[in-house]
Amino acid sequence: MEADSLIQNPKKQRLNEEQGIDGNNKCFGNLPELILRHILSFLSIKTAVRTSVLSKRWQFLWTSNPYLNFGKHIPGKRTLLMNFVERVLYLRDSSDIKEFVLDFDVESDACRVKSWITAAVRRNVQTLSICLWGSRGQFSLPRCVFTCETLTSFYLDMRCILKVPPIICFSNLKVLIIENVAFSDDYTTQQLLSGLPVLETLYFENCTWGCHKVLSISAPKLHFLTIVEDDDMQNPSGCKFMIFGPSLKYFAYGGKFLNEYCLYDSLSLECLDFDVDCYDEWASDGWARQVAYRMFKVLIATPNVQDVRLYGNACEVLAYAAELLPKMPIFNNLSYLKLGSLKLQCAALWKILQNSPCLETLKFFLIEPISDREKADIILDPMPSCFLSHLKRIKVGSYDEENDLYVIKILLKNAIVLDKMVISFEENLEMQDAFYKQLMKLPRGSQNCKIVLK
Amino acid sequence: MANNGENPSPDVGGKTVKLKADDGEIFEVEEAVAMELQTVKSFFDDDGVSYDTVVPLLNVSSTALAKVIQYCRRAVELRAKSGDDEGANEKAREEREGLEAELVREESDEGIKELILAANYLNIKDMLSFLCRAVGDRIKNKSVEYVRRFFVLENDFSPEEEERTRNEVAWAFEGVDAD
Repeated sequence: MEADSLIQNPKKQRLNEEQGIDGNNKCFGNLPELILRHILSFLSIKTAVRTSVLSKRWQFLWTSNPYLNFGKHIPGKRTLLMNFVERVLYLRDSSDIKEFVLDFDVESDACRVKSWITAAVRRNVQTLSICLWGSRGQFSLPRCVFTCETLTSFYLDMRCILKVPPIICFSNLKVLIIENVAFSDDYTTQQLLSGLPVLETLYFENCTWGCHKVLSISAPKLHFLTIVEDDDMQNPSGCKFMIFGPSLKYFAYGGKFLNEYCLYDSLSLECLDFDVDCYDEWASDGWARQVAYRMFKVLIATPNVQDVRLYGNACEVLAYAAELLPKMPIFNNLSYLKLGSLKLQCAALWKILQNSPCLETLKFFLIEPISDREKADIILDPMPSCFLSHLKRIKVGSYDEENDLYVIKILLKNAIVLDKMVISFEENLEMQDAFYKQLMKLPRGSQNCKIVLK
Repeated sequence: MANNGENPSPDVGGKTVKLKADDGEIFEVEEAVAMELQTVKSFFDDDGVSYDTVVPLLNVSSTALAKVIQYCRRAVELRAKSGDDEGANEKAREEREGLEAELVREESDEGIKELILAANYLNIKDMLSFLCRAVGDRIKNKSVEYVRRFFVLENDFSPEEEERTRNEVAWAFEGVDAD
């Protein structure tokens, strides 16, 4: 008797039981039910429902599909969509719904929409994505959403005042994305911001904060925070946010700093991303200085940052508060700097470069043109120390022959440990060749560096 | 111990495991790869089972087993490549997706079903998932008849029953969205 046959039989039986294979299903065509349901879960709910006409066995297989994404609202098909959603919810079995995605024009059907959301919550939904509009004023989410303990991802886009109930429990919520919402004036807004114990990603876009003057966000596990503010928001005095994020790794802000953001406990922040657009008309109002002060506040709180991205005219804006430049922190860990545009004549950028002794990579999309007068403003002596010791890679997003050669010359001459400079140059091969030859003739501080044209 | 050309000898020095397909063909596989098959892993998790024992996989054909082993080998390699580096992770992920697409593209409908049954029996979660997704893609926009043929289904509805069922889900066939 072979040794393995003793073990074989009980093992085989156990294997069969675990897989749930029907004893008589040796034929390929008859896949076990679990597998069929698994296949169906990859289909959109609309496609899955159609399988009910295949055979008796298939009639209700689709009803356990846990991913209910009803697709984008198509104009003219609103009633059909409503009926579809309701039929699916009625015919469904009682298995959990993992994902519920709705994109819908509410009109006067607020009650029905609320009942759909409630149904999803009651089926232990994990990912809830709701984009609603057209509710003419108030649409209030069902309260059970705010106490849904199975919810791990919540995406809400709704041009309404958000009514947060007094009791909330987001004990499993890891991702929260809110767009276009007007938070209410009362204490419930703060309660929401304080009730996110395991939140890792927080994203606010075009949200307004009512009359709140101060709010705090305290999320011990928060890694990623992004705030985008639209132009036409009306709160002249703004709201001051205190953000306690000991685990915060990434903070991105886009807008005009209509509100203020103070980071505490953020010495572990790795990446900072500012997209600030501040035009001349703001300078006269003194608003530009306010923006500069608010940007500075964040920079001072995050001296350990490793990766900084500055888009729009963030650098120029910083320069509006010239008196703060000498107080710019030293960024000992900053190794990666990405700019929308490189403006060497901007004092603030120069200060940042000087205060980043370990900068290794510098990337930028454009080069701001420099007038002859401005050329004198660039203080080449002393050169930022990173040019002498650390700056290895420079990547240029686009090149304009007329303006940019001057700046490229400065960089090539002074970055004496440069390994590689990559320039995106979208012209025909002939012009690329000519440009390359021109570049190779320029004096280079680093003899070994490569120049690559893309 | 058969060791044919289709199954190249594993590297010397690593522990190997022998797997036997339904036709008796034996595949010798590196331990790390064999453990991707949860079924095989459970087999050895039991006390008293030595690693020399040949694992009988009576529900898996040798063609399917060969492909499964090939996929798992590449998957283990790719997983070893990815680490903390985001760039390397991204690259490894892309390669794995390419591997999956390649495996699926070449398979006939019968072939895919056979692989699904094998992946299910051998309990390889990732493989089962992408195979099921591939089947979903294949039947997505097809007619009822096509899908019936794919799954080798007999239409056991009586004409009246079928009519009734179609009416009940007519709402799903209305053009609610552009597929």
